Amino acid sequence: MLAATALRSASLPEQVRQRLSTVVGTHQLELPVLPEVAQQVITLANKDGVDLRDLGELIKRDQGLAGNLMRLANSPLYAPPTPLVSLDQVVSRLGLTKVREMALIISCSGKVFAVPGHEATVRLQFRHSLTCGLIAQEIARGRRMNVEEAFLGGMLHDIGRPVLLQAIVDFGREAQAKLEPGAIEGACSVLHEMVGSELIQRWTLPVRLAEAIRHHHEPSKAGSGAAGLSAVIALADDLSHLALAGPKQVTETQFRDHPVLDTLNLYDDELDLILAKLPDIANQAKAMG
Amino acid sequence: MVDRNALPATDRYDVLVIGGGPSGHHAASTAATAGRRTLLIERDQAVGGSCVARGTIPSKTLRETALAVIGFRRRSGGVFAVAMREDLQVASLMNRLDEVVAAHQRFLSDQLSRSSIERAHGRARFLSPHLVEITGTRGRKRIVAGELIVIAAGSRPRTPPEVPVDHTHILDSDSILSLTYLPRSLAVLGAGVIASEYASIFSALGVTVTMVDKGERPLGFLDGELTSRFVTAFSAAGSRYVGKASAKTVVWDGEQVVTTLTTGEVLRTDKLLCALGRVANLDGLDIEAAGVKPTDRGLIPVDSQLRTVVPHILGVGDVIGPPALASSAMDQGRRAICHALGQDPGVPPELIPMGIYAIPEMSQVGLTEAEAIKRHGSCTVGRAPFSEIARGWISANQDGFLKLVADGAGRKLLGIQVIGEGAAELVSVGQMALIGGMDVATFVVNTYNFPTLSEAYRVAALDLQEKMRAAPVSISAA
Repeated sequence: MLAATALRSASLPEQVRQRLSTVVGTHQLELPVLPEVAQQVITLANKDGVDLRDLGELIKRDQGLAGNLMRLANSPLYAPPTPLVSLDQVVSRLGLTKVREMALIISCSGKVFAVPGHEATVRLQFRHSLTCGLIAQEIARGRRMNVEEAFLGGMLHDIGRPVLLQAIVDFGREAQAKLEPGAIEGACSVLHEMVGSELIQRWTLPVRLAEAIRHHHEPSKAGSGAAGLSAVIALADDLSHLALAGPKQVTETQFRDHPVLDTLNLYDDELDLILAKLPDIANQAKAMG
Repeated sequence: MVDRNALPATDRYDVLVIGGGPSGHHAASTAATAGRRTLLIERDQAVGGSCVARGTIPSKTLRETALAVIGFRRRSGGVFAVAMREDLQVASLMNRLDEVVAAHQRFLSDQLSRSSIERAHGRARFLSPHLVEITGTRGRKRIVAGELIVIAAGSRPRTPPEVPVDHTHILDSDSILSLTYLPRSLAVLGAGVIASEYASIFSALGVTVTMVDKGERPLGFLDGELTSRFVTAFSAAGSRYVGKASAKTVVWDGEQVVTTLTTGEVLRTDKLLCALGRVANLDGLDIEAAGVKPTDRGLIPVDSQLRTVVPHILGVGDVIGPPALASSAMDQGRRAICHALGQDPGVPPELIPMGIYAIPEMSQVGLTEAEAIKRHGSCTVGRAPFSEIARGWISANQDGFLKLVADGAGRKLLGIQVIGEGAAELVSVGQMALIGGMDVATFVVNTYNFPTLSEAYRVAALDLQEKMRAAPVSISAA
């Protein structure tokens, strides 16, 4: 859907709406750049013959990232059997994929989910995303799909929201226009899949992931073999709202008729198993921030 | 209790088939072709069963990539060094997978539609010998009745208690292809078809594989010469078969999978594949309500006509146990319906070929040397190493061979075994000869395309005749 069409119903001030429509429509929206070292970690993950020692040395160049990696690696999210005391140990124990995943979580938390003046909103968005990632990996495990890919998909599915929020706030300030929270939310809702998907590609993450995120509200439209992953994200997205009791109001009974159940071949008893895990997952995500 | 005669006519069928894998699909098609109103009940939205979605088709797609790598190495005569990137994503090795699976499912689905076979997406549960309740993903229920009911529910990987499968580090055959990256090392528990196929495919892709099983050799049901050659090729690729051993404990220590064997050896690998057999999908089916009792091993007992103790309920495919191959399952589906409808099922099941898509590929049909001696007291054998076949050298396939087994007089053909690329196709020539009751001499007096591997039939037949001329004594039981 074109940005202009999508934004037609958004009740943003006209100047802001037009500016947003133009920059999104022409792919000129300023997308957040990951911290240099985090981007290098992701790039390194796509290269040949990676030496884990090189990865450790690279991370040490960013003390902030290194410190946060240590904290995250020892958090309930990764729950190591014994505490990890050095960065080299973290890298060798958890490996390339997990370190990339952690670099993304840390960078998103500090760089993307950070909109001055809207801290409470983005903190909730981050928590929702993390919860969605954790639920997505549980769904994927049961469906015998890739667990790591599902976590990333869930974690990054709404990455377009804080990016759009920052842009709308900036445009509003420049236009000296008053922004209604409902109008901001409306604009973010209609554009976040498109913007999130572009950001994923900009960060050189897999095309399949970008495609799944682009259609996570209509998984059947996802191409590139991403329909299954997109369906996992769609269900995890709604379950995350249930686990955290908001912001979207959903009830357990609604899930008995969720549109992706057929695609995922998910039966009542299997859904029950996932529902039973929600309180633990929500606590895990809340402990993270 | 629901009275089946009280059900609307639309819910009363001549044949109900539970499961849409190879056996169920063939049972449904055979029934529909015979003019029976048929309903196929499948728990997955797409038809094809594990064979299409998680088993045969996906693993063969990965195998094609592995073969391309090996083939390039061999055919380039070592001019190019081909190494897999350490971080290579497994999905990228199967980039045609979605296309292949979708095409196959579409083809199966079209075929069902053309045959006017109705479909229901849901789980089946017996209410009585003739009534089945179907529950959909959203809890919708429907009760249907069948005059004939075919149980073709398939199977799932068996997980022994000592192997904590987490589908991330410790995987089963349903989750192995969801790996993100190729591991550096892989332990494979089991030595059946699935274990041998995956072990050799990953080994060919450069992964160091250790295969562990209680058996002295893998694939114990195959001809011994085939499995010896398989183990030799597997070892040459840098992998290892550990026989007469099993896993005592398996633990993910946060870094690697640590497997302690009954021999005391400790394996440390990036990932582990548990392929220790499969379990029939009978959970929730409530077959006891139909009067059928499973065996101690959780299988459905059937007679030679694939009937259960309740004559109108038939069991086919993995739910009745070995050989649990797609080819035999298809044949069982067809055969069960033919018997039930009083039709001639044709060729006996012992002439169904067996194809193992390992690297190298193996296939056999009819009797092995050991089986022929056991059944007939003696036999004769002729061999054709592919190194003596022009096509073998051209396609860098000279390590394979074809083996013909004939009666003690060296005339009547009893079985064929083949190892090497194309084995599963090549064996079909011998299968037709067996079905046609041809003599070994038929292979000598006929000419084949040149250069083809089919020439191996002539070379093996000549070898057999030559041996008989040199020493007209057949191999007998010791």
